Amino acid sequence: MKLPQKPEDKSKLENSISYLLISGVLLSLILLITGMVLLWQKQGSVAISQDPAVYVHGHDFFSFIYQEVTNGGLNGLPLQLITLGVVVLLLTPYVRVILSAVYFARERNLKYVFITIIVVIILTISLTLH
Amino acid sequence: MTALAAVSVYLFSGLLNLTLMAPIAAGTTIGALFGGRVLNKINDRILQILFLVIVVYLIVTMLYKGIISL
Repeated sequence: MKLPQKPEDKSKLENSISYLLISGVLLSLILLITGMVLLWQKQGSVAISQDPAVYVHGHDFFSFIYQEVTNGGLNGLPLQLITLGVVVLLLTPYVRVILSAVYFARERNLKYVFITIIVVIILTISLTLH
Repeated sequence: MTALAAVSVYLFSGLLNLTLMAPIAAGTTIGALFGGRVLNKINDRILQILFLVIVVYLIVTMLYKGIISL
């Protein structure tokens, strides 16, 4: 027999997932807009540039984040802020999948925990193997 | 999530232009947040006319840029 779940607990986790998504998107939006404004002040225009510095490179997503946070300022603060905005925007769905795995584990829904963990593994492989 | 897996390929191939990507990401995010709220309140007829105006503007600017770059 299934035990009835506490409704407050369930909605709490669902709320935390929605807060995570909103805060991730808003944080990346703030970083992108700040970076664009600083770039506009520095260069006088926000036209599409063909400069090699605006093309981001990386080998592995997680080492790319580390490298960007530690010495990403080589190409100037505006480009670093825009890159961090991209990183936050890309990390948001990744963290969301991990959080939903936790959510299903709390719900003791083993089938969905299994599926979500497979999704996390596939995402990690696709972000790592480059 | 599927878009995340797809964009990582572009990111690591060095095909992601930050000056191109930043306005698109900011614009679509603000547009999605704002548009979702406005869509329920706006009249269908006004929406059709607005869409027509925007698409015609895009057609004209694309044609103009294509012609002057010849």
